[in-house]
Amino acid sequence: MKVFKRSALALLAAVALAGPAMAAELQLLWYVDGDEQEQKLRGMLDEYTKLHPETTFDLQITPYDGVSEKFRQFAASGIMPDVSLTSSMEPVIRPFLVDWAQVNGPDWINQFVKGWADGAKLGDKVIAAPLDVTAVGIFYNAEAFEKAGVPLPAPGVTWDEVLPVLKQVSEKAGVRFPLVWDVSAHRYLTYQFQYGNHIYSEDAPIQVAMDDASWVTTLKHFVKITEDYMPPGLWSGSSSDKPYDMFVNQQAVAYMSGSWQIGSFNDGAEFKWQAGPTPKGTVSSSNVGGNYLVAFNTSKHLDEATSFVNWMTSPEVQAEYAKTFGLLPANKNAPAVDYSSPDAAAAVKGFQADLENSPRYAATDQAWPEMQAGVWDAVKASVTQVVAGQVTPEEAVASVRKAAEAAIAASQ
Amino acid sequence: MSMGNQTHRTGTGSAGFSGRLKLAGKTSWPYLLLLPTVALLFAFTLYPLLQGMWMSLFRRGLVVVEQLPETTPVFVGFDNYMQLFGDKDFTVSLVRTVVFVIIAVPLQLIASLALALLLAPQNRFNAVVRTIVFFPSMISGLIIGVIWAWLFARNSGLVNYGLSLVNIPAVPWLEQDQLAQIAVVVAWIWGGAGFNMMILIAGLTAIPKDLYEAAAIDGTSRWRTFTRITLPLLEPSIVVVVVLGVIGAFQVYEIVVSLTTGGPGRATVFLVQNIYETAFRKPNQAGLAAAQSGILFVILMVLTIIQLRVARRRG
Repeated sequence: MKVFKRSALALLAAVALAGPAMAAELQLLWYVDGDEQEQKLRGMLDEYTKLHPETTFDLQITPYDGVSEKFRQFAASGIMPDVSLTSSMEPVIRPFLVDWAQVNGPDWINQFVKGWADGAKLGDKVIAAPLDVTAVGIFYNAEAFEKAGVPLPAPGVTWDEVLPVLKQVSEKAGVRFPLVWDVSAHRYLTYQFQYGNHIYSEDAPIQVAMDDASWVTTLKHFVKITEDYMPPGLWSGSSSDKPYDMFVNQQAVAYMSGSWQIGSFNDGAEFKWQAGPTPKGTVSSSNVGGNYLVAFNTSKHLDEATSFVNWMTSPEVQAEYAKTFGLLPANKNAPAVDYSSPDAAAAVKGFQADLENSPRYAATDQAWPEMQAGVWDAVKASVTQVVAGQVTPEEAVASVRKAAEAAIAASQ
Repeated sequence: MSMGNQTHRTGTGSAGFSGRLKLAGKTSWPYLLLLPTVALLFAFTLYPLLQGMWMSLFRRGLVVVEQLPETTPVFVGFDNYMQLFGDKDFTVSLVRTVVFVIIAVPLQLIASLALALLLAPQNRFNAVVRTIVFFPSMISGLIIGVIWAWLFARNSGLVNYGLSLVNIPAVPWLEQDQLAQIAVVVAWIWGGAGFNMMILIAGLTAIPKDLYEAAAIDGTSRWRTFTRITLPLLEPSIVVVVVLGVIGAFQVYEIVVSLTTGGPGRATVFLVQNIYETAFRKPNQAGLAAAQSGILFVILMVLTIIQLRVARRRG
């Protein structure tokens, strides 16, 4: 009897101790565009918990711009979440990231869109799991074109051809501005890509591959576009006008942004819009971007964290995630996405085609770990300072080259 | 007798000890009360200051990660300070900040003084207006910047909308170098004038009324009364306003970030933003950023000492 009692007590103690250890609450750091997206995300997390009742989530929403800051705090304090969404792996957190080549094998990364998958590699390691890919491209206010009686641009259209058309539509349809363009280095760089310019070599060893004269010419063209077709001062670097707001409020005929806007336009735009065709320069190019999931090797629930990331990046869930948020799946094996709206479906298809038709450097340029904040800042400042008349285009391009070379030197 | 002596001795010893204890208690009590403040001051002001000074002698990452050798501190002595002399971004932002201080602080003082003189008389109307004028001092600099960005937006701002009603073309308030700098000055003055006004009103109310009565009996003009009575007696309050203004103006940052983000181009990048960009946007330049902060600290300390000494001498 005594032995039975002792055994029962031991069993109870074991269960009591083992219970909490089996349950895992994963801390997730994520950014979203608004409450609606947060609810959709929570829905997906609940779905995961239904499948894996032992795993629950503590979701921390942070502004996109604040992620880098958070990462530095994590590195300084050594206290990290289990999993985070990010679009770049800051150097300070790289030592703390799970190596997916070890978890899933070296070939696992090959199932993802190549350009974005390359950005997850650090030497022999794979430090992130691609979640979705984005493409930079143009949106048109189709209603304004109809009102003006002007046909929408056809595939293969060039910037030189499309800009007068946008102006014509703006005048005829009474839309305030022909074009708005996100004030971002990433979006501007796409214009340089379209004229064959890029920052770094496509293959290792990394080198600065800028043709300075061509960069200067393209920069001058871009500044002229900002002066003649965009809201005055938009690219001065200090304007408080928001390109997105101007487009959704029908104050601009066209909006140069990217595929991540599809979901928002699909949900909220009160006019007929169309994504693409994105005009080209001397070549067609988008700019490959997107998001990754990273897991931290400091996690107390490493197995649960890696299982969750593997689930999120699996082909079927990728399709569901892409459908829910109006994104392009990063996993090449994802089944065809059934977007509920024909506009969204057409937009996604167009952007996917843009990515496929882009030159390799549209993916490799930002995949290099050297493409740090310093380089992005110099790229953006190169335009804003020329627009503000503070430097010449030649000086601006020289500053981009200097920052790019400094980034290589720093990494070595 | 002996017992009495003994008792006496014991009594004296006990009284002496308890007296000393009381005295010690009395003298140490104020220090004990000061201790939390001093501890907080040390933890949040003195220690970071000393650590920043120490950091400025190293080349290092903002965050030191053992696995990343490039972030590890390397002692470079005063190299960071020497490097700053040739750093165009630093020198330009420093000069720009000094010009901002020279222009914005006196303008804010004039605005605050005018408000104080207008609103010093005690009545209900003034009490309401004082509250309204003081309101910007209670909100964050970031919000002040956002408010003025909405007002000054070129294509959708309230100011340009107002101008359009009287057929005046849109003004590039935030997109032209000098106008953007003026916009920052305006927003900064608006943000701090209310607080300074309260300090000056306190100073004004402390001026004895009989001086004004005597001046009135003598038939002194209002301007002469202002320059010979009000201004001299208000000088201690003015010194406080100027010292706080200079310190605040040298540290101008939040308003700029939300109003112009340093643009157009880099026309409104002041010293603190340059320090932030050096530390947070450039790899492994935390030492250089700390050196910039060190220089800012020295400038502020020297200016404050000069201002206080001048005020004391005049007093």
